[in-house]
Amino acid sequence: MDVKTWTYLIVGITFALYIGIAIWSRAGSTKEFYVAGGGVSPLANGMATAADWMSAASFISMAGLISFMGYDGAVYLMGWTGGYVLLALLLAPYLRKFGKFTVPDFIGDRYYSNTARTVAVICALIVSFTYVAGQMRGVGVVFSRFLEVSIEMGVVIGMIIVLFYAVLGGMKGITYTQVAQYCVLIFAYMVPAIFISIALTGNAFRNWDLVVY
Amino acid sequence: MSNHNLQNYWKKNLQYLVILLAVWFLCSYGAGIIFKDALNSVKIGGFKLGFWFAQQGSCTSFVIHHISSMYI
Repeated sequence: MDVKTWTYLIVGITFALYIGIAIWSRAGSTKEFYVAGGGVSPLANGMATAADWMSAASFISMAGLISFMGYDGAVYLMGWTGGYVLLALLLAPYLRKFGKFTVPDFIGDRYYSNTARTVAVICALIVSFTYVAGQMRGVGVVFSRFLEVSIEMGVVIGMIIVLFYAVLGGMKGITYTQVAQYCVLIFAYMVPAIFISIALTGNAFRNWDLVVY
Repeated sequence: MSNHNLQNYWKKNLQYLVILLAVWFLCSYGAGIIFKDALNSVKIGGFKLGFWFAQQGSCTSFVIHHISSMYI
C-alpha cells in the first residue's frame, strides 16, 4: 500500500475511535454535559488534560517555534505549562468546591457582583477566541493537506467534526476522546523524534547532539 | 466545620500556596531565565543545566509539584 492509503486508513481508524467514544459516552444530564457527572477517574482526567496541552497548536506550531527560535522558544513552553500551575493552585480547587460549572458563574457568585461576572465572561471570550482561532487554523492546515482541499474548507470540516462530538458527548465525551487522543498523540510524537534522531545521528536516543543552544 | 477550624484550614492552605508558588517561580523564571547563564556552566547528561531547566526541568518540576500538591 502507498503512503496515501496508509494515511487515510490510520486517520480513518482514529476518527472512528473518537466518534465511537463520543456516541458511547453520550451525556444524559446537565451535570454529565458540564462535568462528566463528576465520575472521571484522576488518571483519565490527567490524560485528558495532557492531551489538551498537546493540541494542534503545540503539535504543529510549538515544535516549529522551538526549532526556529531555539532558546527563546522556551518562553512558550514554560508559559504554557506554568499557566496550568496557576490554574490548578488558584482557581480549579475552589471552582470544584463551590459546585459551579463555569468560571464566570463562580466569579460572579463568589464576589456577589455582576460586574465581576461580566469581566470574567469577557476574559473567557478573549482567551477562548484567541485559542480557538489558533487551533482552528491548525485543524484547517491538517485537513487541507490530508484531504487536499483549501484551508478554509479544512476549517469547516474540522469544525463540523468537533461540533459533532462536543455537542453529543459534552464534557464526558470530550474527556474520553481526549484520553484516546493522549495515546495517539504520545505515539505520534515519539515516531518522528526517534526517526529524525536515527537519520541525523545514527542513534535513536542521541538527540541531544542536535540541540542548538 | 467551625469558624475556628475554617480559619486554620485557610491559613494552612495559604502557607502551602505560597511555598508551591515560590517553587514554581524559582524553577521556571529563576533557573530558566535569571540564573540561566550561571547554570549553563554545569553540564548534565550532555545538556547545559540552564537550558535543560528551560526546556524540560521547569515542566518536570511543575508535574512533581502537581503530584505533591495532591498529597499535602
